[in-house]
Amino acid sequence: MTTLAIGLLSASLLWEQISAEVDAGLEAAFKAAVARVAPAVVQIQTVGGLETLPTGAARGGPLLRGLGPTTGLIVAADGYIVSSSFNFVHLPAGITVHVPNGQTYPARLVARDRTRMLTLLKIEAHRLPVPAVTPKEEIHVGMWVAALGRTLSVSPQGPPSVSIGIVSATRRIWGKAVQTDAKVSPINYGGPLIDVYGRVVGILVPMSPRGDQETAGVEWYDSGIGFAVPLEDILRVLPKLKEGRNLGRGLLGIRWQAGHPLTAPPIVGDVLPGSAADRAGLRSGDRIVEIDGVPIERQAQAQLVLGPKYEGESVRLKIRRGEQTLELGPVALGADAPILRSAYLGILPMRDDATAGVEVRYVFADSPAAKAGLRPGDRIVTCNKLPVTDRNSLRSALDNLLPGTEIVLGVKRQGTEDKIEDIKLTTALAPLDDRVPDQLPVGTRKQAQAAGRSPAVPAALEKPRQPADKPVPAKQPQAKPQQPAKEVRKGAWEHHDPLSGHRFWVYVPENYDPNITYALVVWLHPPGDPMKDVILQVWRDLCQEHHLILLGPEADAPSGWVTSEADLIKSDIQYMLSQYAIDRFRVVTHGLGRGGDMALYLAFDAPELIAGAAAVGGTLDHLPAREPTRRPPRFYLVAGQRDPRLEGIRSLRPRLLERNVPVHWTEIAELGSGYIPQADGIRHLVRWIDSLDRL
Amino acid sequence: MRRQLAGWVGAVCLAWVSLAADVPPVVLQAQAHRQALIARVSPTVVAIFAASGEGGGSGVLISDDGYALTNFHVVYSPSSPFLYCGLPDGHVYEAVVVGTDPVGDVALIRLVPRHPGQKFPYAPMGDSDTVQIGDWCLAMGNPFLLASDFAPTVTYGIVSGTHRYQYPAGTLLEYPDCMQIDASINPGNSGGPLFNLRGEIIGINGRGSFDKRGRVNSGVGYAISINQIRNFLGHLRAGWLCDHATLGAVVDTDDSGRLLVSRVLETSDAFRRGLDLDSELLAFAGRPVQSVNQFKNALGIYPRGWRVPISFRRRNPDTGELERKDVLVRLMGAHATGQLTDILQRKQPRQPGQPPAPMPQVPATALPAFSDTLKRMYEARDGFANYYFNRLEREQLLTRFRRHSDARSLSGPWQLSGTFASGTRIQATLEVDTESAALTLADRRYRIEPLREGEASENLREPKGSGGILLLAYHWRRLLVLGEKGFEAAFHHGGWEPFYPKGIATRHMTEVLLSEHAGVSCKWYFDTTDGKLVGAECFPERDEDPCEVVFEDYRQVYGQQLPHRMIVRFGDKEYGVFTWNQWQITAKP
Amino acid sequence: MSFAPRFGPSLCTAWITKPRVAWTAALCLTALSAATFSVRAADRSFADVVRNVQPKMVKIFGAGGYRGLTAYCTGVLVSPEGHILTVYSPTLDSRELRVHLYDGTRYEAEVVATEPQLDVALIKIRTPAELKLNDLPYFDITAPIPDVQPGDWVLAFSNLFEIATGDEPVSVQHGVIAAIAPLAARRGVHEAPYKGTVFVLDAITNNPGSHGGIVTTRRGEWIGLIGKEVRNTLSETWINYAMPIKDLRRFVEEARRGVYKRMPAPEDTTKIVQPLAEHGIVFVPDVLDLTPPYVEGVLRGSPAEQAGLKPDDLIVFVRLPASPGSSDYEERVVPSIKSFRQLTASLEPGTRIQIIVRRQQQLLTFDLTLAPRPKGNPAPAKKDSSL
Repeated sequence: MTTLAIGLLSASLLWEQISAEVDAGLEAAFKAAVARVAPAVVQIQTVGGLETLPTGAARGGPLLRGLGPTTGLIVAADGYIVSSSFNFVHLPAGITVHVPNGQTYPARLVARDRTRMLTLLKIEAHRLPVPAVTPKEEIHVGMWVAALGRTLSVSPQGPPSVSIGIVSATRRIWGKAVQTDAKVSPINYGGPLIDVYGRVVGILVPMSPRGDQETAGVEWYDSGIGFAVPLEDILRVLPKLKEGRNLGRGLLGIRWQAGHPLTAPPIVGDVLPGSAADRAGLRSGDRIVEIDGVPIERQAQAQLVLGPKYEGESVRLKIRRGEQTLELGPVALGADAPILRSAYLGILPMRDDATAGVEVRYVFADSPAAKAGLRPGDRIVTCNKLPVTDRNSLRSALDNLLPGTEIVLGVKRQGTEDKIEDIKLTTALAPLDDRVPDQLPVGTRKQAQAAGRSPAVPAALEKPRQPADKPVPAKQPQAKPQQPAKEVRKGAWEHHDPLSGHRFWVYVPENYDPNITYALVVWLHPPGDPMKDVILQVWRDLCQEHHLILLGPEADAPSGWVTSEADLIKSDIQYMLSQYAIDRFRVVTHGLGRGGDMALYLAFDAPELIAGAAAVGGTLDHLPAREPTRRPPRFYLVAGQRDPRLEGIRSLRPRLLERNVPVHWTEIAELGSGYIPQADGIRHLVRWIDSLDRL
Repeated sequence: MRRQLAGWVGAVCLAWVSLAADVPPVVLQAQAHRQALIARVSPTVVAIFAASGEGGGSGVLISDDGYALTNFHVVYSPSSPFLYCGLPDGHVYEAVVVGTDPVGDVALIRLVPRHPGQKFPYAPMGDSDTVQIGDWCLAMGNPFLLASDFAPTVTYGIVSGTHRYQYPAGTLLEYPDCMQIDASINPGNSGGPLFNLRGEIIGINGRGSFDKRGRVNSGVGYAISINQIRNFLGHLRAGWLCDHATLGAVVDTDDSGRLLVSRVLETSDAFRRGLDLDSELLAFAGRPVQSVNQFKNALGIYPRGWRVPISFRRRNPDTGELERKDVLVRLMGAHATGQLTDILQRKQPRQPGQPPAPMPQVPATALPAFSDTLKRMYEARDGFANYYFNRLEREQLLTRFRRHSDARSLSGPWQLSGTFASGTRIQATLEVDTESAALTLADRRYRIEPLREGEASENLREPKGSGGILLLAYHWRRLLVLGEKGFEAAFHHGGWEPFYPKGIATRHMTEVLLSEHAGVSCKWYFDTTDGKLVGAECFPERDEDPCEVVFEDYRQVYGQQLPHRMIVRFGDKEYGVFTWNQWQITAKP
Repeated sequence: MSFAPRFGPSLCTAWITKPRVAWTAALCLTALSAATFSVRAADRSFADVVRNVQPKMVKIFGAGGYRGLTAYCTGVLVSPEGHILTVYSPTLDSRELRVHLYDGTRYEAEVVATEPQLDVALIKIRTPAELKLNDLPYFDITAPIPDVQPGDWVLAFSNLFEIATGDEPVSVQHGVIAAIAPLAARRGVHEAPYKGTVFVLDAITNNPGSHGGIVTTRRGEWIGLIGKEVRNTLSETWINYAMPIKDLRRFVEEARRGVYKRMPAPEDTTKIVQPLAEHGIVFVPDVLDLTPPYVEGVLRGSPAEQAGLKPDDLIVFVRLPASPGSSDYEERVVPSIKSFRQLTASLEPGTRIQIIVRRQQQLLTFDLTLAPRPKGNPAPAKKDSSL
């Protein structure tokens, strides 16, 4: 009876509520929710540090740092505070934390979670308020959330700034973040994303699926695309962070077989020696069917399972190899893999060569090849007893070997009185080096057909080794992705896409010959000035002489290149590959100043597409993610000693070498922030490009 | 550590009781309502990846057999009509472009089931004309290709404007009568659905106004209204490369804000209906128009060839009086025949706000291998996006048509006798066979042989004022007896069009067949439900009024349903009504 | 709805006792909502509010197009005779300044008054003598203004991107008040003229042409005027904000009556002047834009030395009078040596200030009374000043 009475009473109360406006109720509810969390939302002040943020090449000049305070969230009563690593990327001299109770403390930076862009701070305080957490299983797409920040708070005791939106998705950035359309920006990075009850869903951070710098994803601020790392996940690793351990990504150490990453099947392309995958016994060609019991159909699904994992965490794999299905692991995931130098023989292969085997075009002095007595004109026909059909087969053979490995080469040599000798040569492979020959023999077999000829060719090498009537190969695998049916455009031409407004210009030598593989030089201009005429004037003859094609994309904004444009450039390159006979191993980005930054960025961003980057006065504040890669991009760096950015440019070299990346370094005394002054300097660069396909 | 976590959750549960008290049930109700709605419709949202491996966008399923709407600029590729699609079920599906509307930036694609008989989840279409500024809306799609699990990004906002006009790029990608929203849409949302809070599609998100920050949302997105798309759906399903319409006249506002005709094409139907220089346009397709944008909005949502009512005021050339005219006009194409194809071959649309390309791969391997099942679903043909689907729709229409009445057996000469009423009532006989058509009105006899060399074109219009009823009857018999075999030059499904059996007030949607034989083209209107042939138009000359016939009073003859009344119209006038009381068809000799 | 209460007990008790149950209750309630509560259960449309506000908005077209300035902006009617409040911008410097009203009627307009300090202008529709406007829909700026706080829902009305012309209604966006804070912003390199407290919004309201638009509560009550596009120096992001109309009231009322007097231009506080008083702190060399304010040494007998500041102290905050001679103090963060010099430059000798420094892992507070500047410059104390 009484219950009924209560029921009726509460019913009438409820009726009141129901007839109240939804939005009024929502307003009230969120104010209560904010009030509940606010005591745990701290304001962070920093002193000193860089006035601009290192943003990687891509944002067309560095980001100016805000002068305002930033935000953090108390996660432990004894003074642990989690914030976004973005807030400390400027390397401040001092950090202080204002707790809403009015106290101010100096803070110590305890540890970083590099996978989730988080930083843990410690202040010497006790009995701090700790917010409630929203369990992950209760985070639903469409639920109300609010993003709180302290940047705009006049006083740390005042109300935090609030932006209200909904949860847009729950498994983003490879399963590491919740996505919201509440406005997320430097105003609230490091702050909490809360639900309507005043529980914390996660910590707001800039994030992007394409890059792991602290600043990646900042370009999307306030766009309705915001991310928060679920607090439940953070609490799981909090003990480790408290110990002062920086947490990094766990890598399996494979590269997928080419294909659209979101749709392609999970077939292993190659396995990095020494990686977790290697230790687990994974092989190229294996198809992954399960990871940790989760069925895998696509590469992206595998990434979704692996993405959240930390270095040291272990995984189980179920794979299909041919007919059989195998269980592999558990194996502990490795740390960020250093880029390996592929094993190096020390020759340049002759290109556009129809005959089976690889003709040696050039032998690098005191390289393994030289030590073995290999000579120009020799034709390598077997490698470790396996037949070598063309330079690609030799390359893939070497790719699966590490420096130091002994190999046996079968070689045919033009002996005296024109008889062919078969010889066996043995040598130990060395790590790739980046020396540039002083002069190079012509690089293509098709020279006979090609108009013009390099004067740099020593007479001895001019005599064609094959009869001129040798059948022309219909297609060089990889060299010509799609032989265009129609007559290709030659000379200088421009493309302007009327819809996107995107432009690029192209120069194809008038003597272009589809039977010769060309190198592609992608010119990335400095902010504001495409420099088309200058570059054309300097490069035109070289292009004809040395079989180069120029591609000159133009930046959207006068302020210079931005991240999203990397994709436009890549598709421009794809387009060129589909139209012309271009050697994939000699696609080079080349830029001046901030264009140079972009050139370097692209080489890291798309190593499978770009063989090298030649930057004049270019640098990268942050080197992009270390994707495990087999064929590291090469770098050709030119620094002007009068360049105001000289220090930054110089700082790049050691960082690249530390990553085991081949770097060719030149400093020019009288050069400021301009382009390579002397012609021989450019000829040197051309030889570097010409020798990029070294084996 | 696990204990600690448990601790947290425990703490939460304790905290909760007090928490919950603060939140009014209506709020949770609204939230739960929205969550449930999203859970219901998000399985219909498609992530689309161009075959080139470059770029991608979004789409939404509108039928359980896998038809999905998206943007033209998302799927357009000069090289391949095939696509990869991801659904929130986590699976990848192959798809093919069915029909495209480059001007309206709309495309219809079809996903191939992974296993036979698989039914797709799909979302219902709403009515975008009932949308009001200030209404809440949900945008779904795949911005920045973030959805590695194919679960769409859901953003929530309000409608900022309705009936907006956004200018085309060149003559393509025009956004007339579109909706403006502040729900965040970004590169990659292109082609995704805009839902109302009933879970109905009210638009397709296609573009935004971007500014100082480059290609990220700036609070202004635009969605193509679903009502516009509905007008084109018949054409899209029939595999057309659709064109939009023009009235054949240019209008400008004068100082007093009136909308006056400043130029008019003499070949346009509007001109023939009396729209002339300085006529004041009052309404278009039932919408009052007072500004150029309103006119563009009203016009921009119709396909070429549709017939719509317009109202205008003009000075009567004879009396000099100001008069208001309400007439039906046939809309001309915005582009000349073949022009669209040319434009598309010239440039590859990539519009501001196209999603960034995913990591490019080696082209040789980037182009995925598509299944043969899929490849069989494509047939190239000028003027079409994919003729395979025109064939499909046409066969389905003919099947319905013949289920209603299959006259292929009635292949002998036809003789229809009865009366003709135009004011007075007189005896009439119509004789049609494979070579000729003849009509006897009282004692006057007209006869034509359409295929005979030197048959004078004015004869084809006989009898005077009918516009060519003989010619129409001749083609009519071919359609019924020979079907597709009777029309060597063209025999296409023409999508859906309004048909007005008794004038402006009697509009209803029909399915259309377009035929051409011996240089004469005809348009055949079929009832969408039972496939009955309800009317026809016959064009002895291009850019001239056709002879129009309405077929009525179907009755059983020779075991088939055949019309016993034919209303004939030409230009502005009704020619007369034939009433047949006898059908006589002599068996084939 | 008569049976609605019958849901009452089950639902309500559920709430008070078991949250999970309550959740599911809410869910099944939703299931029913289609039939019963659908109207209330879903979020309410703002359509009626919008309908009621829009007739008061005008689209303004004038000069511009150069230096990236738009030739259009937004305005709001503040009198039945056609007074329009908008933001002061070069758009208004035009012979043929035109406005389009909600119903599509077009008028010429003229500038009545401007206030660069507030960044606003009042313009008036120009009409031929014979027709006097007196019945236009308008917002009464003297009407009571609702008190709003962060988290309150708002609607923004503006003609951003010049989407609307003629009788097309201006665009409407929704959001909440993110914060109520002083506008620390810069436009290009210059500082934004408006210095007061603003409503910061979480909707992207500040776009080309949106200046002069308005912000209302979700009930359609006018609370703010959308300002120009500016960057926020606190976060270096583009900021979306509106100026509270309570601060514009006087301007509008007096300008309407033609009696408005412009505010005096404030003197420039940004330039570093020779400090009036001596604190005695010697800083490390100021090489960067943001050189951390580390104490290199202190001058013998200076306030700094007396207070006990030591080399390697890092100054993080300073508390100083809010205004010269004022007794209430404000705490300011000191991100760099430059900012410390700026903050203290204009302080008179005798002023008491507090300096908060970080020494090892503690924050220490020191009281200084600034001394008069001595003649010449005494040498800094030895680094280890063992006296």
